[in-house]
Amino acid sequence: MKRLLSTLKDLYLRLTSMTAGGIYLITLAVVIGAATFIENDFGTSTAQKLVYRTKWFEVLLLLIGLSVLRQIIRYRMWRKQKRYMLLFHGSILVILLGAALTRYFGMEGMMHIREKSSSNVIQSREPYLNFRAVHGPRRYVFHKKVLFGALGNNSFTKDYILGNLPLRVEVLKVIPNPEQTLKDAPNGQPTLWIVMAGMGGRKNYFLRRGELKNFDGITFNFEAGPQPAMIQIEQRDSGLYMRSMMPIARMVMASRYRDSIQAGQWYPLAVQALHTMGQKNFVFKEFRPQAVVEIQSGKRKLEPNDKAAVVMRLSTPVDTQEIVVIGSESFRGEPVITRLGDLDISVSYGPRDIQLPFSLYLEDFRLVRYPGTNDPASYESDVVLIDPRKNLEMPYSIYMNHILNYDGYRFFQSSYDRDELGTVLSVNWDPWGTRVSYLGYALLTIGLLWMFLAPKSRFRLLSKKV
Amino acid sequence: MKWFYIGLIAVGLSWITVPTVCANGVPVTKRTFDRDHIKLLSTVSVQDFRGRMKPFHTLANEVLRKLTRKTSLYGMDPVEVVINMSLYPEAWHDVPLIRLGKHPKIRELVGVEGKLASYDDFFDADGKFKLLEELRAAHAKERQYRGTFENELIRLDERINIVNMIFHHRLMRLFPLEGDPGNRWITGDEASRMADTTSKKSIQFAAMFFPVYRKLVDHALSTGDWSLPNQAIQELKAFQAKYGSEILPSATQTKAEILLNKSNIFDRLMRYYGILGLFALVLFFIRVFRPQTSLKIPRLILLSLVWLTFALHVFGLALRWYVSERAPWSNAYESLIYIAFTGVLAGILFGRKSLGALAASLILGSTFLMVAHLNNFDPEITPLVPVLKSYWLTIHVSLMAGSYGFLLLGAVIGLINLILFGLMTKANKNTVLNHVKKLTNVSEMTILAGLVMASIGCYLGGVWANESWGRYWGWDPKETWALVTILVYAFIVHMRYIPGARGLYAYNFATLFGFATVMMTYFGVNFYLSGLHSYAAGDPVPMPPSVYITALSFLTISFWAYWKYRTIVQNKA
Repeated sequence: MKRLLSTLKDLYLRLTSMTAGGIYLITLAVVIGAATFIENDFGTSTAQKLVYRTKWFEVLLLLIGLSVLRQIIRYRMWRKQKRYMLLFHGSILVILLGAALTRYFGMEGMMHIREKSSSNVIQSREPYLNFRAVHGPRRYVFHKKVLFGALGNNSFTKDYILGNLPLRVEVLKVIPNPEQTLKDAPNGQPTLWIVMAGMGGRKNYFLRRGELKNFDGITFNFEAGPQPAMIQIEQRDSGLYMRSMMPIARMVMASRYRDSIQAGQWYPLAVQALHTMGQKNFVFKEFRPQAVVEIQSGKRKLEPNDKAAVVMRLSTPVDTQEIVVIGSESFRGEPVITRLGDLDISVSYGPRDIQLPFSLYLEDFRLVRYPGTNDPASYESDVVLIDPRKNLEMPYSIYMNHILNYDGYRFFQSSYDRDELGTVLSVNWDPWGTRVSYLGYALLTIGLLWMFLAPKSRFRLLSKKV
Repeated sequence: MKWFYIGLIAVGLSWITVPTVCANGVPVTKRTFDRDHIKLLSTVSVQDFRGRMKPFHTLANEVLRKLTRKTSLYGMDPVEVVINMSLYPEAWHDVPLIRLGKHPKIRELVGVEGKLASYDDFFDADGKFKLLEELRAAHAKERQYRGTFENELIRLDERINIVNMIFHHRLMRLFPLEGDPGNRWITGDEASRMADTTSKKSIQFAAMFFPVYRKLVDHALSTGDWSLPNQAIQELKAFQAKYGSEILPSATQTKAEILLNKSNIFDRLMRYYGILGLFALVLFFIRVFRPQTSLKIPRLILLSLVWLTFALHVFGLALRWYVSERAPWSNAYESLIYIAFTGVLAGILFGRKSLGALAASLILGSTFLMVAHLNNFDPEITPLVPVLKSYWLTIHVSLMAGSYGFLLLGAVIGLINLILFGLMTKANKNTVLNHVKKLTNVSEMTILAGLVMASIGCYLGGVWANESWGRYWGWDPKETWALVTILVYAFIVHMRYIPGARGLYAYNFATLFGFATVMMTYFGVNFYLSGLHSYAAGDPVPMPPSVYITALSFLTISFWAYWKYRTIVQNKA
């Protein structure tokens, strides 16, 4: 026991020595420097996942704190002539504590309000998997905080119990910037990849043999039986053939060769050719005789507005379903609804809604511009804070550097709608983290300035020597 | 509108007395304006496209710098050039005044040999714009894929557009738009377009101004009597005061800005600091290697000149603050000037008794001013974007940028000390060591001061962010690198407590190379971490050759110094 204690003490002394402290400082510098390059290449969330939000990073900060504490004790900085040192070394501990409070207890989000309407809902800054489930007469709403990166392991398993029904949620993988593509597979089916060029940009569609589908208002029938469709497609020994109910102008994209398709006649189907039928344009991008549709990552870097596809498996004792949920860190995607036995469940990925105990009513949003230009000089939101708990109605103007601070929540002018009829406020709840951090800053400042004046300080010593 | 009628009479007169000889026959360079008239013209206010109100003098200087990178052209000053171009465009079409840039392909396209091309050079015999196809291709390319050719082409097109705008009175927003809630000022061209649909007198005035003014100048050029054009400009100024009083700069402000433009303070300071720095360095080396020479009088001269020059620097900053109505460290150009200021300040504060430190600070001041006057830093005064309007930010930036001056002084002293080690012999060992120690003391002071400023500046950035959008730390690349800088320098000031990292050599080596983190924070972050390159995907790290050369020479110096330090100071073979 004694031996263990002395080993522990020895370890503590080694881990908090001046040399170790120096190593920690340089390590931290190198690590966060490297993290900025990770962020540059793979996006903010990846840097968070690989560095800033890891356990080892917390341990590194803790070790720095312990080293500082050890030096405070070792040099007995509470002595009268050393107190300035106690102040700025102690302030580092306070600042670290403030950072920890912000990290574990703080909350951030966004509130969007249109003019002449009110809102009491904020969207969290951090992304969640949002679940809604209906099981018989009972409804369940629950959220799981997640952090997905373009690198590192995103998969995890989490078990829930809904009433008495166990539900297992497994995230299998996350695909940043998902794009659908065709892949050859032995168990695949003949599949045609169609790209429709519409008002909302290009859209990808996939048509398997035996399917009848409507893409953007055009029906395609790929040997799905005798049902009528605008375009019939057949697979013959010599390739694919098509027949249209309306005339089509066709241009092979590579050679710019043009021809036209008469209504009601069969033609060999041309891939990589632009088909124009009335106002609609489409291209048969690719045909593969044995293929499956796969989701692939288009771009590796994952930024807060970039979409990510979360591939997950939900299982109850009676059933298992694999689903793909698409969303992004800053915008909640469409929920995916599925059924496991008698459990109806919907899952979405993105910010979660957080209810506030009060609401804001947006009276007016104003964009002030620099004279004679379109460059914004200032944004301003006139809001009325309505708190039913206290029967309070308080008008307030929020603009840059003029914050609404109420009940621990702080509202900042962040952005606005393009039509200038709505405002986006960022919301922050972090009263203790902020206070403690600010206290640390104040101590740091006093300590550092004191150093210039303290008669025995290193600085004064040096100034006497030069 | 008295002058308006005088103008009309003058127009009538000019038709009778002066046929349009002035406009065509005389070469442009001979068409000299009266100096007093140019002076008066310089003080007229214009609104730039970002909404800043500035004297015509400033606008003309900016235009000429953009077009030619010169401060005068064919013996005419910028105001004269610009007003001439807008009054007599037909005479300027074939005058070379557009800088082509360095790219040989552009020269080939335009078919001009010299540095400057005229407006007409860009159009072929059929009036077709010669750069049209290439420009279209350049614009279609995504930003990150544009090369030097595309970028230069786009910038050249901008210059051609400026000339075109001057020719058509579309550049200078001289006329307040009566009753505009956004305080918009309009150009002569806009006014003449509006004049058909409105009966507002103010718009009629604006529309008629240039045609009438030209006739008055025609007349003045032939008679030498400039009273009528002078009167016209006075009327224009009265017009601006009447309709644009809300945003019109005061006469003193205008005067101050013209003084700032004309004096070229920071350009001068660069040269003064450079000369004084070399002077101080020579004195310092005399003191180290010829300690018996008395330096009392040269030192006194040096110090008084340094104080005078520094006072000029303070005056320049104050003038710029007054003129821009915001703290003068709000864009890259200004922050460099400010860093130069703090560097010299650090030298004056901590190096009063040390010639070496003073020399180091003067040289770094000069270097920073030189960097500021490189072509990629635009000295134009720019308005602030909303998020930057905060006093927290003003203090934050001033402390951060200021700390770089102090830390750089430490680096320069580090370099001088390494060189001194290198020059050390057994004979002069004691003298050299003595001076290295003294300089190291100064360095430690300036590094401590720099670290204090950087630390306070860094958290003030956090306070600013927290007061602006509710998050005091977000691991954004710039703030992360500021923290890296602080961590590295915190390590450096604790090196004397760490066995194995102690000693004069290690400290000076660390202060020299530690400054690389400041370079990364200040220049590197925008350059390397803007998301344009993906290093993991194999994109090369773009590194200017000067960086390699500097790093290599500093490393050579450090090895040389280390070798001497080991053999002479530590007595090891």
